[in-house]
Amino acid sequence: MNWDGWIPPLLLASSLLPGLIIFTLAEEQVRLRTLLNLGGALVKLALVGWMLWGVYHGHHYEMRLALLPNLELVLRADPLALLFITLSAVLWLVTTVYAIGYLEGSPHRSRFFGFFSLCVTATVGVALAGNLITFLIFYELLTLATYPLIVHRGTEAARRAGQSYLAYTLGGGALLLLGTVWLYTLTGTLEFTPQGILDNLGAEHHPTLIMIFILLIAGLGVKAALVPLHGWLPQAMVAPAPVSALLHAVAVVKAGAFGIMRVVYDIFGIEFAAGLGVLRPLAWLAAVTVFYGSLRALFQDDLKRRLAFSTISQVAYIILGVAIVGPLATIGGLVHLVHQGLMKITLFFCAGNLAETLGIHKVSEMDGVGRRMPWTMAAFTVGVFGMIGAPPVAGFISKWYLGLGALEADQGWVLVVLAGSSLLNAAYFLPILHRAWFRQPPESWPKERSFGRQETAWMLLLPPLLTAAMALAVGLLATLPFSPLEWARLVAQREFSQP
Amino acid sequence: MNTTLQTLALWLTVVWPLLLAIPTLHSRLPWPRHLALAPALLLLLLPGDATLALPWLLLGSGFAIDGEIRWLLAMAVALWLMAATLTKPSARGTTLFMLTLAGNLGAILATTLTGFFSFTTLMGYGFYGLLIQGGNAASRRVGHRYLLILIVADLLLFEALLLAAATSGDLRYETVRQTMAEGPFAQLYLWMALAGFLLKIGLWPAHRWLLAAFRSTPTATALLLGGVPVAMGLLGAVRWLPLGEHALYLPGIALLTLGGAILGVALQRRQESVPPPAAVWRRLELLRQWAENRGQTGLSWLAALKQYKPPLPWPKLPGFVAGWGINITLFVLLGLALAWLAG
Repeated sequence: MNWDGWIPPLLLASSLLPGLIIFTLAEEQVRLRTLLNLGGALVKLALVGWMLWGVYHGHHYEMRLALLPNLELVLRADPLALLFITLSAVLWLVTTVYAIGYLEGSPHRSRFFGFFSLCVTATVGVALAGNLITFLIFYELLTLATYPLIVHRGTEAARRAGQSYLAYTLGGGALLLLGTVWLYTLTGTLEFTPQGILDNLGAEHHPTLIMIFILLIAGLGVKAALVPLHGWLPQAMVAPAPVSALLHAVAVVKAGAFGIMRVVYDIFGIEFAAGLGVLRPLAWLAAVTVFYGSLRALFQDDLKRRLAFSTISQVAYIILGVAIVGPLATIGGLVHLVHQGLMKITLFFCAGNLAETLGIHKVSEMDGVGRRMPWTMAAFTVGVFGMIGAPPVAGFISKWYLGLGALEADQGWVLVVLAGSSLLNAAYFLPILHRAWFRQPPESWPKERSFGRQETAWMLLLPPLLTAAMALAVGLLATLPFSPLEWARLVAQREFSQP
Repeated sequence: MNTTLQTLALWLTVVWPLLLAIPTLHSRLPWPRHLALAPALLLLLLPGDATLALPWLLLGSGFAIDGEIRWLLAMAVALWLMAATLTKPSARGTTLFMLTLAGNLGAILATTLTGFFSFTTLMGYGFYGLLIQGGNAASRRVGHRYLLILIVADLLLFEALLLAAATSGDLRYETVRQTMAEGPFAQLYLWMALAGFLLKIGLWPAHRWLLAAFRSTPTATALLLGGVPVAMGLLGAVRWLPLGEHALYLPGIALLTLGGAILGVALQRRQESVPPPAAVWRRLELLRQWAENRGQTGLSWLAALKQYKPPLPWPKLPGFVAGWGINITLFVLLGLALAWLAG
């Protein structure tokens, strides 16, 4: 009996079942909840490892369930899906450890971890989706699973952020649904297929296809925080740090960016889309978003808000990589999906550590914090240099391939965007490092908690150190087999049929 | 046996200082700054050339030592030993010292443009920390100017690196110098790399930080100014720019700068060891005259060089030595680049 088809649903179940059980647990059942959380995350990681090995060696993991007449729920693990799933699985494990430490002693933990698990389940579903309708279902489930996490603190600001998040993402979902239905009436299929499904449509359909493309990208652009659809993201930073980490690095914005990749590569096909003339405006929009996010970040004193605007800018690199059109740019965009996740989650973990340990929320409060929390700030420093694109951190590899891709596609203007963005990244990140490492610390911190000889709780310190080490490792060892870069090459080969 | 030892020494020359950058490690060792140089000293003592190819590291990298690199490494080790001796111990200062050292030695040993770029970036940010760790307003100002120059220079070099990679694919120095001598990106590459390195060297109008840094930083840091950012800028120009036969002169000049820095700053504290802006203007005027006359064959810039008189009187002889090294180097480097362009 071939068990390969069962692995994708098992992958979903590895977080769905623990999540559902956790909802039923009482607050004081800490050990069982921790066991379920970590057990689920480890099982998911093992399954992902199995599938990585299998897909690399040509195995095919797919399950189909009839949903409606002529419409199936398809779960399929292709190389692009696995790139995203691996990121989600690895960072889910790390974020779970962090969240356990972060929320220790706080109320409503079962509710939090239940939705936390559902959120990851939906993200993995988005990644595994083998057609646009399956994608849409999990994409909307992700919205619903994330909302309770954003409003978890129950404050007025959290409720406002939640409302804004719902308004933006449900609106985006409606556009996506409209585009999907319209596309289905035209093509009769929504299957994700390498080089797209639209090749046999004649030129008379091109205006319609352009409209459908705009609808789909607008729907997905909300979660990807493309300007001017980004408004919810800076507001959502009122959520607890593990949620911010999840939103910015693993789940929501990545689901949007991933969806844009699926639409461009596997619905329209990159060459068809380029021929339709829709990718050049998308590249411009991404470039505007890169600059807009960075410029807004420059003027934020709230640390998490600065990081949020930075996410808007950085996620647009992924879109830029898609829209440049070419194998190398595709590699750059794909690999940045992973690299940005590693770097940004590090920064959010560190921001959470500063808030939980010293009560620091603003950049202006960070004077001398490097002396008080050297390991946290060392991890933060790695993340910052990665964001700027300094070697050997992961961001350097992303910018390298985006730049090479731009030259390959004869779009030299992208080099100006990359240089300008790096300059702006340096302008809003390096002053933080200067404050932290070279200014005198204050006599007392806003709200300090003591952890004995340690700078903070080990469950808060270990995750950023791990993710910072990963961000360094994937940069330094980028060319090793199974690295994100090599996996991105595999995906690009498939999309461009290159040797 | 010798090869194994050399391979190990090549690794450790860079990795050992990086490890010692961790405060919990260096705080447990006596003389950590001096100890950090032990693998580099061992590498110098082992006879013969060695190459360590690391295709899996950072898009393909490697380390090597040969006759020319050995001299550069020897000068760098001497410089860093002096700096280690002169530096006042402090945990944070030691970390920055180690990071800058690792970057400096790594850049000297690197065999590819990406390796060189990565190590000089590490070195640059570490050196920024060394510049401003004094904490006074003057050192902060110098540090900020240096940081700005470093960022802009690195951006230019990164873009040049992309042009080289898009043209050549193989980023070993010799291959890049050959392939970038012509081709669609040759001019752009040259100007970007040249601008990047001239910024790092401290040529007008980016020279002010260097002038101020000599005045405002502690002796050990001032000692490193010539040997770290300036000499590595020169070395980068030698390795990156397709200067043909002219490039043969530049390793010697880089050595001269390192030597000038050691002699000059070790013997003299915070003197006017870099020429004032007027002297820089004068050099540029000579260059302009030379450029107008560039139709002449051969290394006609040498004639212009002979006309050059350093602005006298210099405050003291050691300052003259350091200043002379930097002055002549800047002049010759620009001359070579223009010779190539006229070419």
